[in-house]
Amino acid sequence: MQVSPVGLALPVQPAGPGNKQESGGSSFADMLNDSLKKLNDSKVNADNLTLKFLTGEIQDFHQVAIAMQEASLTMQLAVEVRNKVIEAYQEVSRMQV
Amino acid sequence: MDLFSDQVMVSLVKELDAGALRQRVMANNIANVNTPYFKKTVVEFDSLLKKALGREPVEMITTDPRHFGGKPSLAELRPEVSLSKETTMRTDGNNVDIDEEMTNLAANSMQYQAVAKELSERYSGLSYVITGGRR
Repeated sequence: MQVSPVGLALPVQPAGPGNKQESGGSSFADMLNDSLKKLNDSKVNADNLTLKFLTGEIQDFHQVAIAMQEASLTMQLAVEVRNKVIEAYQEVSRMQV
Repeated sequence: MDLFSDQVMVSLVKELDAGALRQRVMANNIANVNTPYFKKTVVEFDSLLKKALGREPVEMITTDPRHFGGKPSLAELRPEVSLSKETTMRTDGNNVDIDEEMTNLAANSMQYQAVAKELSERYSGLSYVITGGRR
């Protein structure tokens, strides 16, 4: 039986701060940063709308409800992604070498 | 650890306080709709909250917390109850407009429910983050 060596199939690139993928555009870290920024923006937006509602600057509660729900869903997505990343890390750290 | 002293949370709690007080004040007005010489009381809160949040269009500059016109602190914000003496609805001086009171009662109850729902959603959001999404 012929088993191809793993090292040939997966060329390992040296890790480093300046090492970006040539094809993908932005790195995973950039994507993560961007997502966290969006999460923060949605929270700030919900807070702003809530204060505006309380001071009577906007009359419609639906805008506040939508912003709250969006912020809450974004937060849930972020927490789930974080759980998956930690799970993956634990999986790798348990791997037999 | 100040989990709950965030500006929005405190504002929501204060708004609920004001809503409950407004409910009692309006119930008092309605109960006295036939009392001769009765003058209604009103609750003032929105403008005070606006001031405490620093959302007034023109603010006075203060260099000392004891100066007049300064920003009141959000934590010490209290709704104000005042007697309204200007109007009269009946010949005996009673000024309770029952239609107005009923409308305001309905509006206040909707506002209270909305704010209560939002506050509870914020609390459940916090608890979600604390437990890290594990059920």
